[in-house]
Amino acid sequence: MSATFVQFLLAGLTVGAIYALIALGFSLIYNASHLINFAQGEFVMLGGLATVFVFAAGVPLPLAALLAILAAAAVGVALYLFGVAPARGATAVGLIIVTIGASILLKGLAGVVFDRNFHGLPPISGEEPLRILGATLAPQSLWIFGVTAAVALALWLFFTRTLQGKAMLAAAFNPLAAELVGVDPRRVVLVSFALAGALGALAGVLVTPLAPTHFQVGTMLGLKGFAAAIVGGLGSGPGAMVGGLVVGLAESLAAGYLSSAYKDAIAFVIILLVLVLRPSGLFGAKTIERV
Amino acid sequence: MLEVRGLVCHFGGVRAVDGVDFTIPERGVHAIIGPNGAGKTTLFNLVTGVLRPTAGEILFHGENVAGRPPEALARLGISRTFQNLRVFFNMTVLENVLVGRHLHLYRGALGALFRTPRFRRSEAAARDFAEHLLARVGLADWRHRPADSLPYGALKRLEIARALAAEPRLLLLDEPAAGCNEAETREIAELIAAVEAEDGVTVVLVEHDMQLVMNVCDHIIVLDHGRKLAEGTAREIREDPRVIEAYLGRAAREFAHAAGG
Amino acid sequence: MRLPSSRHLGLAVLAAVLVLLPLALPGTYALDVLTNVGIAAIVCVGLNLLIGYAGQISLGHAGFFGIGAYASAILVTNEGWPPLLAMLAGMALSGLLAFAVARPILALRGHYLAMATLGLGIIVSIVLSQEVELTGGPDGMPVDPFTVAGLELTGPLAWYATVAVSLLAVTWLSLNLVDSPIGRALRAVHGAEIAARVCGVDTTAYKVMVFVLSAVIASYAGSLYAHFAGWLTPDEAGFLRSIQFVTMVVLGGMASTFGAIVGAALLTALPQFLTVFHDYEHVLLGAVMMATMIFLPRGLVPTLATRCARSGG
Repeated sequence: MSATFVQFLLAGLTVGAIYALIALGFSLIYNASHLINFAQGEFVMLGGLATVFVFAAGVPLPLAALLAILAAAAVGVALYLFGVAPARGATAVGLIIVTIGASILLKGLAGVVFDRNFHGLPPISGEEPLRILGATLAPQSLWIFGVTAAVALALWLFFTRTLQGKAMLAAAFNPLAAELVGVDPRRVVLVSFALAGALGALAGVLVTPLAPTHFQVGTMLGLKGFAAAIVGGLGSGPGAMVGGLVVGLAESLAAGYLSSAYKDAIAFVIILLVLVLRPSGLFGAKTIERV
Repeated sequence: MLEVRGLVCHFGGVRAVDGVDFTIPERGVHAIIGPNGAGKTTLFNLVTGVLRPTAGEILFHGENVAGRPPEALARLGISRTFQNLRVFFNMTVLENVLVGRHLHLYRGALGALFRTPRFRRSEAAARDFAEHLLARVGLADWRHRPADSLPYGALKRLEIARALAAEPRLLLLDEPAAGCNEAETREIAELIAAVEAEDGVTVVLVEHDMQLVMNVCDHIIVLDHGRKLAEGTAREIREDPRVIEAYLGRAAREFAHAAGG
Repeated sequence: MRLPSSRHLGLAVLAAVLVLLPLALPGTYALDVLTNVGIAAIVCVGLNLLIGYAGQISLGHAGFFGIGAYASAILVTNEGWPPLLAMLAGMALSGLLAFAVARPILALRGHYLAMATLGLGIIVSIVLSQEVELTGGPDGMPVDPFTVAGLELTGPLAWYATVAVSLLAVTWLSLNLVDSPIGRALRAVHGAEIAARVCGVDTTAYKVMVFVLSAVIASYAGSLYAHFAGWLTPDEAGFLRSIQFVTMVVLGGMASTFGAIVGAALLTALPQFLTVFHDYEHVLLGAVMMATMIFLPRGLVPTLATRCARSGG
């Protein structure tokens, strides 16, 4: 293996882990409400920017990150309560417009409340790169791998080992039946929006030291996270993880070997190919409605 | 005109239609009856291309048409109504019937965009035809109303008018009298008889109203659990012990169960 | 009640408004804004055929707008083609691309269709940004004026008139199409697809047809825009532009041709007249989108029409 190849691989895995976190947010909300939240990328932007500004105000970095993540979770809850829930009767097209509207609104608010410049964050543990097979790896990447793996494990334990998690899965599978046995589907949806907000913000906190953030970064990150969710199969947790890595690797390798100019187009080519060839994704059940 | 051979349709583990054979000759009013879940609507969905059969043949005028899409079967002259209404609620009553007339219309895009004389002649003729049909089913006064403002019984008749607008050779009616009162049911029975006698359309209906079935149908096929249980004239069916068992036996058992027996 | 002449009445009102507007709002700036309104309205009338009547969403129509615009810009400015020919080439290219992708994409529904069209639009805008040699990249490129037979289309009034006549023509064609077997077939697809198929409507073919038609119309508007603006950036083909078009259609009222025009007018003109709120443009657009779906899910024109019909008896 050449050093360049390893370099592309490591870069792809790093960004792929970020996409995986975003994709998990898509899948959580999709499972709870069969909705695709086009505002998912804005959580990433909010997480990054809010941490930057709270940190700059003198709050220690870990606390600033925690506050930003909690704030994004609150925004997720607000999105459901004031956007999605009141429009519940709308058609699929209507709900798409609501979440896209929310995405543009959040972007606009961020541009006003924060600013319109690029901002970075210091990495969690130093900038001295590690050497692996001739390639370099920023310590931040290790944090990204570790945190993403920990989050995935925690979510898996939550959904398979805790009553609350099982209740959420049950409600996603059959809201009426879950309600009959005392699970409040509305609460499940709320928790999902909060979790999706927190996951997105976490991705933002982790990625900002490597790639500066800006009030408009949410759109692209959100769409790439969606590509990851689609590749893995919407609603599948393991699918989101694998999908994230696949999209990240494809993007990094294509940028390295084919054309760096078209790096951003890769995710969309993948979206189109997967939707057309295998709409249920790699791990998803065949649920696409066709008559 | 319609011949079904070894027709099978499975959904996962459920055998909705499980090896059915029958023949519907040209002309006449035919009924497919059976208890709930017998596979009647699935059978209609198979014959009209809404569902693909798992196995078996559907011969229409001797040609195997199993698995063809609904629009292809419509072109051959098969038309239907739906048990759960499938009305175009976003259109007027008249426009609903005009969609039913679709295959008989001049459909060129340029003609439509520029409203050529040929296009206008086609549209005017279609409107006359549709209004005539609406008068026939008693909906003439409602023709410019949005379809979503009609009561249930009227929607049933609207679906029949829409199906007739295609001038089908084979018309399948899925529970045309469901939810209708006695007077409405009588009107529908008269309409069905007239469609067969005056227009020469072969009619097959799925219906739970046994009085309607016995009154208008010459030929009845009984389904149970996805299989054909019996076939014959109204009189033969009424006296067939298997049919009585399928209907009454089940009813009796359910009654006993409900009574706590 | 729908009268047979409502089509002509609506067109007459539109024509009157288009003639009176420049008299009511004189001045170069107002005319330029009105021209921009007209260009967006042309796109929206076409897009409404797809979204409002056929019920198929597209979050990528700015891609076709951009193809038209850049076809005109590149072929006329760089290659010296006659503008009319370049415009037709753009329309043909948009139509071909739409036709090529329509079948697999339109087999998808709801969110999946939204994402696929969005991906398509973004790919187009990325290509336009990255082919710097051809398009000047993200900084944009100049576009030569529109000329026909040696005559140059110049001045705000001439541009306004051209766009107004185009809008009137596209509206007329759209109204004609809606009230035809094709338009009824599209609405039937939206209303009850399986019933439409049982009536013999080849639903896939009609979905493809309307997708291609709306793409060609967007491309035409894009070509007009390129020459009118004189400078073109890939933003015109971008995600936000696609979203704006969809919002215009939804705000004005889905399945209402005049609603699409009203939506285009509101969303184009309002930010222009409220320049003090420039920083809040995104906030405003997002809030309008959400509020429309929550409070007026059918859009302005159909909701108002129902209210008027009710109060009028």
